[in-house]
Amino acid sequence: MPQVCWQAAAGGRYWMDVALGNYDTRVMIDLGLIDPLRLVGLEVDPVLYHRIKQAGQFSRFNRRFRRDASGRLSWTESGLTAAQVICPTARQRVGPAVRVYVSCSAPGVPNRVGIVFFHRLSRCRVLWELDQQMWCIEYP
Amino acid sequence: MDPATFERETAINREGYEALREQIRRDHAGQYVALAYGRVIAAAATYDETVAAVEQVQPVPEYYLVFPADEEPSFEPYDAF
Repeated sequence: MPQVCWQAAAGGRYWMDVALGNYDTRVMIDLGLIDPLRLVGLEVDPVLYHRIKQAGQFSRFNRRFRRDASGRLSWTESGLTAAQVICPTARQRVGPAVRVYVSCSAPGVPNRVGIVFFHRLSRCRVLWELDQQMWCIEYP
Repeated sequence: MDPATFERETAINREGYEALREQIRRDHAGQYVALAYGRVIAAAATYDETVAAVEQVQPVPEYYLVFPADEEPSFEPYDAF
């Protein structure tokens, strides 16, 4: 199967490219972003969130509570949209397009992709090349 | 919101929703619904209109959920650790 890969950044963070509706964005891989209801797969900053919303690319909305690492509970707005991996070199969309909720995060917080998005990638595999510090996705 | 308040409000609203599910789906088909205090406090055609209607309530409830009437409300928080 073909694959796309991203090298870990100097700070140790892994970033990857994802299309949300018609907007291409770079998101930090965050395995601590978990939704037991399997709805929210990404959090993006308010500017991008409202850009997608204004473009009419959210088909449904939800007001959810989120819990951070300190246990603090706060509410957030989520919208349902199409998401797809972007090849970082060819800049083309690859793999399945999935429907996933995107939440609006606090300003200044990096855009992040979490577990639910990866679980939606039917027939794909994540390969974490630890020696090379590469995050790869194989897609059909 | 502190965890104790969240747990208490979630329990109230879960119980309220269980009693109201069919009525919500029937009376508010195609709308968004706001749930607080275990009851429907607002409903409108769009998400933003529903939130705006809730913001007119005095006092604005600390806990409320907004969801499409044909879907289950998301009582459980997601984790951003």
